[in-house]
Amino acid sequence: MRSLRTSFLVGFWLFLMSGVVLAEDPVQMLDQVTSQVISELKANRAELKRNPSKLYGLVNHLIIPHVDFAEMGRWVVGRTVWQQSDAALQESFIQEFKTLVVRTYASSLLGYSDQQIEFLPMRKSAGERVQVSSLIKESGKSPLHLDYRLLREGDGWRVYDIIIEGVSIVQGYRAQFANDARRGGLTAVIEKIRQHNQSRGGSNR
Amino acid sequence: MIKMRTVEITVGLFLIAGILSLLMLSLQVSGLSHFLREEPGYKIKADFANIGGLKIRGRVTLAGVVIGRVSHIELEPQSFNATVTLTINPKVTYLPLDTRASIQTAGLLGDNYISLTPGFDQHAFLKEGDVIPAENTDSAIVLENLVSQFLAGQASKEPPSSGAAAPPSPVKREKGN
Repeated sequence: MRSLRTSFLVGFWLFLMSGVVLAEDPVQMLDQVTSQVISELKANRAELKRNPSKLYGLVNHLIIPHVDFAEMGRWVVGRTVWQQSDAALQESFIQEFKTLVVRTYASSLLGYSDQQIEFLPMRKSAGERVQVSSLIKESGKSPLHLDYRLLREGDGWRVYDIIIEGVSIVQGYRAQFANDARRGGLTAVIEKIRQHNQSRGGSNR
Repeated sequence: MIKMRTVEITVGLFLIAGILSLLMLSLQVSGLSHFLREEPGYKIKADFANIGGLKIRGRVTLAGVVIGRVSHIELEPQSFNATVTLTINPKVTYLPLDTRASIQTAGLLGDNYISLTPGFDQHAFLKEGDVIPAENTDSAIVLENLVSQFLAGQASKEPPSSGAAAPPSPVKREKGN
């Protein structure tokens, strides 16, 4: 599953690693962002590989404007647990969750090897939420379907879920934390994520 | 003589009773009895990109409890999505408007069913005629696609391909997700 994950994660992070001004059209935004990131990656790959904290720093700096971790996080833990927790706990969870996702996927960016990302045109959506489909093409393999779900926020859009070949990462994380959430609420989930983050090593946040 | 006949009649009756109960059992298991009885409930729709093996009379569950059935499946010509009509138990009136519907499989290779996850809306709830849009649904997972991607990944690792970057180090890639 390694290459599958690489391909999708490359796509995910290529999109996220950008400092582009949010455009009105989500497809255009994703496309712009992706091309920018690919060129950045090609330029600095060696240095980013050598220095992982630099990679995390870059990722942290560029991700936050484009991903709604709050929305992602609350769907991961579910309504009951989320609404039972106070704002401080919720915030603490979002921070830990953010770190988890960044740590889990940042290094996959280094695995980029000239894949082509193609965004499929999207029907105009008047609603709050939209789904953008893309294909990650690599020579010699059938294209990987990668969908982004975005939420309209002000003038722009932010990603709250990524779906690879039909598998949503929100669903994946939800399954992972379901037991802890049920047993000990948000506190237990935070604790589990914290342990995970610490065992992964590295002092970067 | 008469005793023989009594016995035979009794056996015959038992046989008929057995066949009848088998019939009732099969009706119950297939859900046909529910369907024929036309259970009351309010109808909501949900759009999916792929319904997999979901069929009419499939279960609709919330927290694992059956709260409704799939009553109709049709195609939506504009978006090429499938629109599934769910008939929900009228006692369940508290499903938030942003509830998420996912198609899941019972066990590893079982039937597909729809599992609802409540959303966060405090004020608006799903009622007759509402639609759960495609952005709030998770389609069925097509195992073949995942397997083919996996195999392609394995195959591409066999001979070291010239010009391609080395696969990322295994250190950070364990079972995180």
